[in-house]
Amino acid sequence: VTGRLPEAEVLQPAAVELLAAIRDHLNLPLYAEGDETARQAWADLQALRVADVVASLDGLLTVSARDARDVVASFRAFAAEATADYTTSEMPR
Amino acid sequence: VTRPALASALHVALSQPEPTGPECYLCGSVTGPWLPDPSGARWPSGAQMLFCSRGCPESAEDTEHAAAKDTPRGASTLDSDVLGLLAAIRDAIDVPRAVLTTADEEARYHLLHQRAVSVRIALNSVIDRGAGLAGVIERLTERTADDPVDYAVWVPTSDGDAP
Repeated sequence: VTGRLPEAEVLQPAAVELLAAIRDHLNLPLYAEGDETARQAWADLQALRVADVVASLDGLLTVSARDARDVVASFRAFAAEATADYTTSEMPR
Repeated sequence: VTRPALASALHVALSQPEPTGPECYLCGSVTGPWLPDPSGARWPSGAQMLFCSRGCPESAEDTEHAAAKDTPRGASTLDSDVLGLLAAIRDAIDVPRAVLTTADEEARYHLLHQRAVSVRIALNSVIDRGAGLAGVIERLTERTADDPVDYAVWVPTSDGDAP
């Protein structure tokens, strides 16, 4: 987790870690321009990551009893499994 | 479940008749929730192949996937304002499925990307700049409304056809 928070907006460490994990989970490298296979793989991976975030947030919000740290661990495990295995762009995200 | 094991399971599933409705291709559960298989594999009709997102109910040890979710445990450790932000994030990215046309699926991919960018901007504000949660939630909600669903949405039929 990087960045800082002013004292007036200090969040719980678990909350900051969770928010950062969500940001990382949704942050995929762009596909190489003109590579249709990479573009489709990127789109599919994005949909998969988004679905994982939604499912995890459903768990936190509707059941409201799940520990945020479990969700962070779940994101990391999922990201390690569903990686960007397509040709990526040189351009910044 | 390892990737070769999943690939094998996919191969076996595809040798069987396509289910008439959404169900996990590993265990056949029709109760969900599911996630699309990471490989992007589809049934002959074009419907996405799904697996239980929280682990298959009867053989969890054999079918546990990295995306599997534990059953809830422990008390929520998050403040209500953080939960408000999480709800806004979910609302932003929980976009409906599109009907099975290339144009509509492309439009959904585009919207997902736009909404994900909005979420990342919101999270950057909170994490890196210490922005107040109330303002971030308000702006994220506005950005979500500014990027409405503009494709044909898949509507489940009575016989449970998957998109």
